[in-house]
Amino acid sequence: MLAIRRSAAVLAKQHGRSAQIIATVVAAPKALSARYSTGPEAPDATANRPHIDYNIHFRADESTKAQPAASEPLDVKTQLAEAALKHVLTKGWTVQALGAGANDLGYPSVLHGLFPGGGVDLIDYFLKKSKLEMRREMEHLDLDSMRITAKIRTACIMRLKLTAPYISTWPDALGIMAQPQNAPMSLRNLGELVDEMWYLAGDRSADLNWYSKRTLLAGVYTSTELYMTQDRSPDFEETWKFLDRRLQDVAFFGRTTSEITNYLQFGVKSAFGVLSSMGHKTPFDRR
Amino acid sequence: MLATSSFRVLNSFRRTLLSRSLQTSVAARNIPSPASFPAPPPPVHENPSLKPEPQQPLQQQPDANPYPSLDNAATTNGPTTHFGFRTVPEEAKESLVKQVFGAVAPSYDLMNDVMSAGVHRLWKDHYIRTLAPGPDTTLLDVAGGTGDIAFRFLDYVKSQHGSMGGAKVTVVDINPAMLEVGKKRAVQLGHSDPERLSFMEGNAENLSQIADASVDAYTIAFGIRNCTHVDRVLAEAYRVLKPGGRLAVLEFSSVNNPLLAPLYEFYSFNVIPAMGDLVAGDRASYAYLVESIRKFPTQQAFRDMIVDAGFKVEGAGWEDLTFGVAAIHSGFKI
Repeated sequence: MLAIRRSAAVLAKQHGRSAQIIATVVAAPKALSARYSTGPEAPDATANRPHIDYNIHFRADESTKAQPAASEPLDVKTQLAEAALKHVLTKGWTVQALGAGANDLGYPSVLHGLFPGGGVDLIDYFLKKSKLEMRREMEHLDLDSMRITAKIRTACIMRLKLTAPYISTWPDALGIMAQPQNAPMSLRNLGELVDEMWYLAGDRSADLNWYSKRTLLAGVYTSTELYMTQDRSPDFEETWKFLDRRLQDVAFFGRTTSEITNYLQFGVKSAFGVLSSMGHKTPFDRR
Repeated sequence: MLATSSFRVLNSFRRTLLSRSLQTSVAARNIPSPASFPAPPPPVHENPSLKPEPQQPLQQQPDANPYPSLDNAATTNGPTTHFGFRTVPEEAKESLVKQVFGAVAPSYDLMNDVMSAGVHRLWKDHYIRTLAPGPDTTLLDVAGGTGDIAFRFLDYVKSQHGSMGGAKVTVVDINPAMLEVGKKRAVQLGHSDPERLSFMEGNAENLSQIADASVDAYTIAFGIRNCTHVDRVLAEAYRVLKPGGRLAVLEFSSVNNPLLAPLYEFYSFNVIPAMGDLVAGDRASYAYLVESIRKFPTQQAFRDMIVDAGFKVEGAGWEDLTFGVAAIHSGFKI
């Protein structure tokens, strides 16, 4: 009872704070500010789900913040990857794109050997770079004042928008990533991405939640990404709606994870119960 | 209690996942563990460095001395180098290598097939696929007398890019006999356009006919271990490559798998010379081939030599083929 009253107080406090900061929002990108409405004009399966606060807040001092210093000269490998990305739309995620990038830099095309895996290594570079870029963009937000769902949703959208320029070739990339020999690379990148998102969202869990949160978010992210490759709506509006529905489906925060834990515990306890009824000693007997 | 133990298991799994990338990068560097290699049979293994330096008189004599003119070689004053397991004056090695390859030239490709059971073809195919030349690549193939690499290069460009474009290859070899074999094969295989494929007699340590920064890629397949000064060869490669060009060396290397190493050792010292005797009628030359493989630096040592020559290497710097029987080393001029 006491706990409930305390969390209610916290919620009230957060809402008060967010109301203040919303006023300082400078210019929210369209997709980010678009809120999913559960009002009567959108009567679908999600209508009776709990409403989720997706408000995003920029830091109040953002305008006065110095722009990042002029970037240091990139090493040749990074230059090559950046040049190759310009050819991905015409040549795909291939050695040829890397070779064309090398030519753009005035080097022979055989310099593509800096990425020994060819297209796979180029995808790997792109995924790593996009993750860092997403973090940089997220750090411009006043994360402390945002709800966890809003932070996760914003992170997903920011990250997916980085894939948007390459969306026509992204199915190819997904195909390459799904090949068994490349699975470790793609899974590592996906794991690091959802971990980064959860970290930015302020998750510091150190229990089973750690796994369930990341697993659920990985499912949401990959399915949204897949949806995005087929989305022809302007500015990927449908993709963001799809993302909202997925986020509501999982409603991560506590409920699903505790359900999973309950299922697990129930299963294990009944297994032990069966054992003990057959005369075996189990840890639950000693209580 | 159950939750705690499952948490512990999962958490250790998570830690394993997180540290995996670190471990792979360490493993890729191929750091030899003390127990990874059985004691090498001949003591000459202890010093695989190619730098010319005075060595002990012969520690393992071949059955019969095939090069009687060198009987007093080890006693000559002045810098010496190795020729297989023999120690010879530096200036003698070049002509000795010439002698060996002059002797084996007609049956060289046949012997390669016999000795490696055809695997050398797969290595060379993979070598060109790794290089993946573009339609405008200029290749310098050193020690490529019989044209194996040059023909593969041209075939690759044609099949990958539809047409040959501006692809060009120059084959350099010190041995006219090997070049003759290559020219003959070029005609047979229909690669006779002199603009696209040219043969040139020359020494890898001094490519005076090739201008500075004039080639996109430099290949040398199973040739560099026969050169007297490997460092000079690498320096020449660096000179002739354009900025951004790639050095790719295909060479025999060392097998580090403790199960396979003794087998490989037995095969090299007992089967290959016998087959050389049988197929090419030349035991001594093939004994030299095996010995020169053993004298070549290990993967890590050769990688360091490439770095010392000014090249940038990517990742480990080499790729083992067939457990390290051969390896592709790469360096980039950037």
